Amino acid sequence: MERDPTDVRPEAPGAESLPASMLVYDGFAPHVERGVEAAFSVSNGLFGVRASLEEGNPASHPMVIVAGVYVPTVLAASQTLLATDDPASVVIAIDGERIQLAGAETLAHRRTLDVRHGEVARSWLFRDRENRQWRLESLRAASAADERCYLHRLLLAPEGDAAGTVSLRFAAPPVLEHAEDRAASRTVLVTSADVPPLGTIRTSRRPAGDWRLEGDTVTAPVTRAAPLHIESVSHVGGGPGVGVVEATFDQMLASHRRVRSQRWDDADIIIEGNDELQRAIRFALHHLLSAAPPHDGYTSIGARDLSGEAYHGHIFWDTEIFMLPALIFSHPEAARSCLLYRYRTLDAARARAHSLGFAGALYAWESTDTGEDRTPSSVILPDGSAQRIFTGEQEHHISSAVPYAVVQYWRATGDDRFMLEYGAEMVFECARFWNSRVTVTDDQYSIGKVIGPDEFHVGVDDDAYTNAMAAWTLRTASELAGRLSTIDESSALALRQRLRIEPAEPAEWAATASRISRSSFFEPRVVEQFDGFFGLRSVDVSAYRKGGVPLDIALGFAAVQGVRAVKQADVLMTAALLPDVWQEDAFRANFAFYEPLTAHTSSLSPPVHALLSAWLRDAERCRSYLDETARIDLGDFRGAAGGVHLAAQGGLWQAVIFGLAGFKFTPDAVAFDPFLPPGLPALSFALQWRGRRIRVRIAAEGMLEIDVDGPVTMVRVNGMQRPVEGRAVFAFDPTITFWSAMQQGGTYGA
Amino acid sequence: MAPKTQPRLLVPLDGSSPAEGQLQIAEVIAAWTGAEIHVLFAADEVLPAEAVAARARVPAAWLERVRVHAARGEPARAIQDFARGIAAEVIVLASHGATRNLELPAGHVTLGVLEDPPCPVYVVRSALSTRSQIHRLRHLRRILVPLDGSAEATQSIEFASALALRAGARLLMLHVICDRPELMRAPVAPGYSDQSHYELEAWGEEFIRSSFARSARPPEVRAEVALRYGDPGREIARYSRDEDCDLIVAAWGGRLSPGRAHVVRTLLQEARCPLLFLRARTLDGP
Repeated sequence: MERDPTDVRPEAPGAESLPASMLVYDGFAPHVERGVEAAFSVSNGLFGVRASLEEGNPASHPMVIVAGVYVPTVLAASQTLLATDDPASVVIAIDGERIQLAGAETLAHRRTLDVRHGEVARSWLFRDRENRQWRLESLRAASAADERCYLHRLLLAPEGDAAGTVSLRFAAPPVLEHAEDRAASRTVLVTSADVPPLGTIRTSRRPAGDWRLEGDTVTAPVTRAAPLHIESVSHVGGGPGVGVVEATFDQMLASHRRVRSQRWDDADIIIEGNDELQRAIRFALHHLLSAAPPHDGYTSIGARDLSGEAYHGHIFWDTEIFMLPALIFSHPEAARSCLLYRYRTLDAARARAHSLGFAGALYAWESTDTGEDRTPSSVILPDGSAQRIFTGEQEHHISSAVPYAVVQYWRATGDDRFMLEYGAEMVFECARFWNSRVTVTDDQYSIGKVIGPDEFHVGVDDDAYTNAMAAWTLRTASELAGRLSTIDESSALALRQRLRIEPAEPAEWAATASRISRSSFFEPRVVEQFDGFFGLRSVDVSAYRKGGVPLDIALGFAAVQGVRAVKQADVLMTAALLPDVWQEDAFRANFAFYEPLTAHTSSLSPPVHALLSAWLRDAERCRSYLDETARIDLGDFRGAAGGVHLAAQGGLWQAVIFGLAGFKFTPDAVAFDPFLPPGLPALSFALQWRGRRIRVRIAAEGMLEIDVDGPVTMVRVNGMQRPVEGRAVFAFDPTITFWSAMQQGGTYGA
Repeated sequence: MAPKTQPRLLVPLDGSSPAEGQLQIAEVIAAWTGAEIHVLFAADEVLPAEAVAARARVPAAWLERVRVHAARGEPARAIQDFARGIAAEVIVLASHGATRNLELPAGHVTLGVLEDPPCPVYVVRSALSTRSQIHRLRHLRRILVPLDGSAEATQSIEFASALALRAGARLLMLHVICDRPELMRAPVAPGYSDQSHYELEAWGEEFIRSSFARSARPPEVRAEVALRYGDPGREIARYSRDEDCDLIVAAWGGRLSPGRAHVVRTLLQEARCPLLFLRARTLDGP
């Protein structure tokens, strides 16, 4: 059975009865299979596994991708995440005849992603050449309880009173071992795959029933009453030795489900009135929670996480600005670990700044295990031409992204110890970088020859986003230097001494911040994105959007330099992160100017525009950008073939929580200025803030219910504030914008 | 068991020029499958059987090698119906007939046939010498298959693969990323390009995999993939010259209304190698 892909709709055959936490894909379409594999992948932050067909298929691309382990590649990327064979892959034969989708008559084929439990199930009903009906079912999970464990269950049984001999051929001959578990003493089949430099992936398989092993093949007579049933546990990077008492498969699965479902319940979002958006936000949450790395601070999250090979696992600003907010408020330990990765690579950032003649720390634009910059300097395009790549040399705003995430984490969690031991050092060193990066000419403080988020234009001077974030970093570092002393004076002093921060330095940072041009936007006029932007040639951006061709690919690198179009939010991105430096009329004027010029070539762009549209109370644009974001990976799956666009998924979370719910926070309070466009009658979500678990339900008619599990919490809605203990209800006016609420004392984000 | 029917190849003639060249080309193509050549003369009048061959200007030496038929009615429709009737494998059709306006990519009958052919159509163009066309078709080494990302376009892979396998030729698959998106029917580039150097790398691989996944290409057939940027028709024509291709096999949607079929029109005018068009079956909807 082959058909073109469908959206994952609950009205797909048989899906109506499934809970809303399930995403379903019915059928099989070879040309989008790799996208489906990635979209339905499962991960636990240490490794990810795609939802590939176990028995293999020419369209399949099965693999296990391991976080933090990079190997050389001949491609321009130079380093890529380790990807290895999926232990679940097996050659299956019935009565000597290999079974695959192509050769069988498929009666039904379904994959189900259980987002709450982080598992993918598969069910395949088919008829073989002997006209017997068979059912193959499987389940995959990357354990959230024991991050080394990959759990896989496979069941194959005939329907009715049919029977047959089933054989499973593994990639390597298994070894029989004797293992004890709490259920019984059983014989297991063990295969070990040597995967340098990771170590081994050791897989223990426990077939049930009457089976025998011959070489690399397990064979069993199978009936409906006696199916072939194999439970496999793979340990990624080693595992228990022979004879060690292990939990049963069901116990391990139950542990995984317990941990994962707790995390899910602390983060779930319910959007009433729109099934597509509901699926999309839950899809986003699944991948964001699954991406959370082990809490050892060794690695962070790459652009496509562990669901595919695109972008080679390289880590960009995407992580700090787009992915971490969701984790900060749902799984703060994971966010902390990602920030510790940046601390671990701080010396590499220092070395990079020094090598370029700057002070402080300049983080890698594309980072891997060591923190050195891995951005290729050029690439050979598919047409054979060579293209220079400038992002590694010029896209310096990464050294504002890291401090931004550090401060956002700190303010949201109150983790002073983290700030004292790790966070402040990163902020100070990035401030030093910007202080040295600025050039002063006739009292004009400028940052020249950069690339902002709008990567269409390289080597520009005074990019608004870069300047605004640099000023923020400097200003924040200055304030932090004073603040730390009030938290722990001796630790703060020790830090200043270790970093040799001169007494005048924080004041100098503040002074520089106040003088950087194009860094605040209180006047109601359109900001020139960079020097000379207004003089560029105009182009019909919407025509390229309609044609589905990214503008820079259509025009080519050289030509796109000269056009007045932007790849993604740049000026407007400053408002998303630093609304405090904007005045509402100024922002409206700039949104009206820049939004039509935005090509949305980057998947990061639509969710940012959804968020900003919500703040501007523009219902039509908000819905349009939300819908577009929802389709990035779930539209036709082709775009997800190389991996899920995890930053876009994080952006969707922000569009919903920061945008629709209007969530803001300070160290002292949480605030909401909700706006639900027509067609969305209610929004419910959970988040964590300063040790509290908070649940919110917003109803479009103007009612916000909040339930705080934790100490008394100051809650502000539309600027009206009162302390909440337990449950409370607030009325809100959706016409009140964030800025008008801000005038009553609210602040946002970092 | 019913005897296997000999394949058939149709050569429509309008008598506007000697048929020798078109018949020679048809003979080479017919040899690919051992097809029988049928000549069709479409006219408004009823002709006696002995006069048809003369009116069609079929040389006497060919009369024992081909079967000659006549049909009445509007020529393009008559050709299509006849081809269906005999289950023709290929139609070998001249680009221009009596009107011979070489400033147009093809005559109205040819364009009419191309709109709804029941089988692939080889277009004999006077811009290329008969000798060079015959030589290339006899010695297929490089067959160019343009792909535009649509499901329909991948159907040409199957046809071209069979041809390549038979001839020992190599497939060159070309995708042109278009700077005029209004000309294209399907996504022709990655939907998003977060970092273009990685996006094109990943998308190019996926484009080819998904194109092959939709088609049945024998693994023995050697294939290469290339990307170009610009006007698809022009870039395909240019690439075919640069790579010295022997044949272009192109699938298309079949609508020649103004503003459509830009690639077909451009290739008819600018390609310097033989052209064979397939009318693709719609897979993704109308």
